[in-house]
Amino acid sequence: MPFEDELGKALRDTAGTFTVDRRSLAEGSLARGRRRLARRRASAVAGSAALAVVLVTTAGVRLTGGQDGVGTVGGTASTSPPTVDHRHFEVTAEDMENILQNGMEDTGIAVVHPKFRATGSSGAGRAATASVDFGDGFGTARVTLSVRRVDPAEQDLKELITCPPEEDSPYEECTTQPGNRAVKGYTEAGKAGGIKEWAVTMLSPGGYLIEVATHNLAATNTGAGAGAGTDTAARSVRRDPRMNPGKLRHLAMFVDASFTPGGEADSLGRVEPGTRAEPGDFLPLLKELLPGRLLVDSEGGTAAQGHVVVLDPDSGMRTYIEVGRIAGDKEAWDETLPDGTKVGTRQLPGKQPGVVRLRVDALRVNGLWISASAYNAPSPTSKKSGAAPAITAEELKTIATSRSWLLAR
Amino acid sequence: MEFATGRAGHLHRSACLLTSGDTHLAEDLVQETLSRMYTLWGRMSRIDNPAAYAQTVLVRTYLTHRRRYSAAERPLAELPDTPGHRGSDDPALRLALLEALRELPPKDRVVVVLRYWEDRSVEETADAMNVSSAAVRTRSTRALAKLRERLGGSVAELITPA
Repeated sequence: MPFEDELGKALRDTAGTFTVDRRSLAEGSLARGRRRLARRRASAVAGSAALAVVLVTTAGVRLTGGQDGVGTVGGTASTSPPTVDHRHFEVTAEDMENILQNGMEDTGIAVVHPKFRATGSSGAGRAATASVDFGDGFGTARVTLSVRRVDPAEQDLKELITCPPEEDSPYEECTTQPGNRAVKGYTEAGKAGGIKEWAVTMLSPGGYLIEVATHNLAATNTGAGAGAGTDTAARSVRRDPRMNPGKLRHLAMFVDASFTPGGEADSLGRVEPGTRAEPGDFLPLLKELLPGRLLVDSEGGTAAQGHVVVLDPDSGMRTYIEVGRIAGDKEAWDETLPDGTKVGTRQLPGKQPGVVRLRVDALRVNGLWISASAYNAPSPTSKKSGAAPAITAEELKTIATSRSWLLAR
Repeated sequence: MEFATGRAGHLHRSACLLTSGDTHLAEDLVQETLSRMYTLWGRMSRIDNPAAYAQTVLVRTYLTHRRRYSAAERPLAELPDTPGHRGSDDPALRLALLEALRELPPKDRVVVVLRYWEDRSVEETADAMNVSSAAVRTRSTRALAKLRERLGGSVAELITPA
């Protein structure tokens, strides 16, 4: 068979391995198409970029200012549990920056050369804000965050989380989303000139009015805070803002979870950016897969590798267990599981006398190679801590062959 | 919707080859392609072959993406765990093919995918890429030579009996 024919056949065989939920892909495409069409129509009829600027400004003022409603909090606080003081709000600028940074990481948005600005707040009358200008390879974008302490029972607030009637709406698109915890809406104010703001406003039952917004604006000389609307020199630099409404909702939920009901940032919000494990990181997955009897004494890892040291409280013995995604080249398989996964189990000598390394490799049909090892020592280079690792080869195999690793990022 | 659902699978597989296995980028390219088709739907009656047109839109969307996103491509994405159809039993060979595709310049890769996966003629390929037929022939010859050098006899091992 000529090489060209072989190549064609190989391409067909390889392409055949890629599957996708066609319906959801099609639905997502059509939603994107409808939005594209709506934007095109809007840009055709809108008079000038000034309108967009006004809209952005209005949104900014509405969220970063708007303290009138808060003044009535005291009068309505009686409807809330007496233990919660919705007037107490204490958050620093550093907390706000961390919350936004951690939230951006949580949404999975790649952020390049970020420039953060933030303001704190020490009272319900003033919103705490944060913003970030960043690049992502497609231009500059901005994401802003505003958090205001409110009494969720306050009736006036519903106006902010309910879309106006379509005929009176200043927004190109606005969706009121019902929910037990909050009603969320987003606006898309793309007009001629291309300045667009997409925003999610959320009223949390814990007593926070949260707005996250994203703009297709260049970084300019603005003051501190989330005040994109105060940026009179704003100019659009990309077709759309970086984050879609789904990502914005995710970010708003993250922000909500970063505050205590008492009006302060909690440990999730205060954690130093970059140090929190992602759900798709190996370490949290490894910890979930460990046998319940093992007590984790210490842990560590990177995105594609995780390790724990487990402690036997009775004997004081420590076992180092690590798992990672590798690009292996030496294949030594003992068995093939029904799903096609090849598994190899070996027992190797460690670096220190008496140290045993129990290693299980699993190569899935999609090429994902997971390697899990356990040492009867607190680290691969430490002296032995016991006669054998505290985990069996069968348990290690269960970890290495888990489908959870397909979810790892 | 019917058109989008019907074409999404094939476009996705094409996009996976174009992106040499980056399924996330492939999905994004397909969504972009179908969303553009949606906006064109009113004029679709004037298009002879909407399926082929969608393929052309996909290729041009991919090439535009490549131009705008000049950074190195992401590492090979993981393939689905439960493939609808499996070719060779050896994932290493499939990965080798995707790796070899990844080493080709984007336009050469497009030529290979259109010519040998889509079975498009030189002229159709040239039309889709908006280049001359001669350019397609040149790229095709060059890409095949590189793939032959890179893969050698392993292509024969990769394919399943007809």
